[in-house]
Amino acid sequence: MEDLVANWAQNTHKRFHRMVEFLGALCREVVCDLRNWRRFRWRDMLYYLALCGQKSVSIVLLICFLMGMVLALQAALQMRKFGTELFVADLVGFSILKELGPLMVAMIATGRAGSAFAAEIGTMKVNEEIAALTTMGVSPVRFLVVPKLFAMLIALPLLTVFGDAAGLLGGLFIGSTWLDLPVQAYWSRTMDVLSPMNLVLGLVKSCVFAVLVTFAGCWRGFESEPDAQGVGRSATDAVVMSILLIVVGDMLLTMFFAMFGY
Amino acid sequence: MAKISNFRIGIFVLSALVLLAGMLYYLGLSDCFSRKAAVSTFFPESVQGLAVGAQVKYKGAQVGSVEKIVILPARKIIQVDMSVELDSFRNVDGSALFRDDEDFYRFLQKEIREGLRCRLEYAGITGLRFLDLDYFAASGEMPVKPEFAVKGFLLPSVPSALRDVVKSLNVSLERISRIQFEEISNNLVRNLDDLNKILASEDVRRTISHLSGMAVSMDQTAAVFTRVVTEDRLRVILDDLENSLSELRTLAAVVRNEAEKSDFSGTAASVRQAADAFSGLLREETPEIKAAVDAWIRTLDMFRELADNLNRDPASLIRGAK
Repeated sequence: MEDLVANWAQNTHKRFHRMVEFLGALCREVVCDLRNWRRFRWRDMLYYLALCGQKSVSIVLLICFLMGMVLALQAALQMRKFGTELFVADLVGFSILKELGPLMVAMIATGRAGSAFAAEIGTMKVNEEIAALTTMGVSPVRFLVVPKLFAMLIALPLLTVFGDAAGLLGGLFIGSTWLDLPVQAYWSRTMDVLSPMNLVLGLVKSCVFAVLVTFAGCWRGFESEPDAQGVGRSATDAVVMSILLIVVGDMLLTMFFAMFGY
Repeated sequence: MAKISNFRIGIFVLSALVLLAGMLYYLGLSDCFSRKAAVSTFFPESVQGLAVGAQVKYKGAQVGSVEKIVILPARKIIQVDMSVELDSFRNVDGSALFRDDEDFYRFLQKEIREGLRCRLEYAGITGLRFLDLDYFAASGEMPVKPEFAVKGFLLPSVPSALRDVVKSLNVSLERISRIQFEEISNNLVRNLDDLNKILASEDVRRTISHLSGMAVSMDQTAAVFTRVVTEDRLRVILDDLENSLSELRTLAAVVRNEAEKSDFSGTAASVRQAADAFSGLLREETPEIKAAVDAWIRTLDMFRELADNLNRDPASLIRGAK
């Protein structure tokens, strides 16, 4: 028993050490690329921007629109009892812009990009391409992770803008059809209660989520065992870890913003 | 690496940026381009429920928002700064009503003279509050004005409706507190003690027992009356009474007929003549009459003496006077 606990503690310590080491390498390479932006791998970044951003627009629009509808329906069922249907606009607006928009987009990105990053890097590790890069003196982190990180930092906020707009439209659709509220009244109410800061804070959250998803996906890829099953497990672990990090990060950010009255 | 379309990526980024700019504009950046005037007001009461960003309404229509809430402990008042959108006010033809802030302030000065005030109002059941600019002069409350100089335009405030209610309640409670409940209670207790003493006295007991006896007697009388005056007997009495009345009515008719037939004037003259003759005799006092009257008086005296003797000794009627 003692051996088991000792092994677990030793493995956890080693893993934590490698994770911190990976984080340090990532920070160093980001700073390096920002300083020497001519060396930056623009083509790779555009590829990942297309993969994680442009190709995710349709699914983000659909899911966020449906999420706005569900939220408005649930709110309407309760608020109708008190004759406060118009406040559905408040609830949907705040929920989508401050929480659900960035969160749903991050979840979709986790499913699409996080697992893809882990599988891609894991496969490269199986094929010993990472070892070859290291042998050639090329930093695998700079070569493989930094373009993904910048692509995600651009793609996720932009996807969040699409998701926010779709969610608000979903609420508007339910408000005007199910609740028989005038479209203009619902829209005016939404615009009255929301402020640009709500949108900006949501975008800040999505930037943090982009870092977390990229970090979890790439790190689990580097940590994958050098076989086919190991790559599959690393992709699964990347998704689980990303979701965990996103939820914890969301909670911490919400508390942080709340300290300043937002 | 799969081939990517730069055009599609460009469309994606561009459309997202346009959408972002549109959302930011509609969510409030448009306010940066609108003309606003700063107005301040002061409340001596609690402003709980009022927050920065709360609505400012002019007769129910939103015209601005609360910008800042400052506590002034030295004066025990709350300063509320608000911004009012000048473009909310329009002429009939749709053109802007005010050219600049000064124009708006002149308008407010005129409206304040006509009773425009600022008041805290509740926005539904949520507990949130907003500032309502309306004409509250009829409330009779003097506007709250600070004694110190205020930077910017000052709009006087009036207490909220809730404060009026609380004030009325306080006045009522103060009036109730003035009532001497203890003294009233002591008097009541004293009066009750006196009443108990009176009720316990012998006179009241005797009176009560008499009243009880009277009640019993009345009950007995009522029972006797009920037993004696049966319904049949009552009917007979009523029939008799009715017959008597009928006969009386007949008699009255006969008398009326007889009276009509009789010569009352002649009879009356004869009676008058007889009365005059008798009066004349009495005035003359003839010796015969006087002697007869004296004899009559003596006879009456003798009869009175005889009656007295018989009362004292009735046996003398048989055996004679002693």
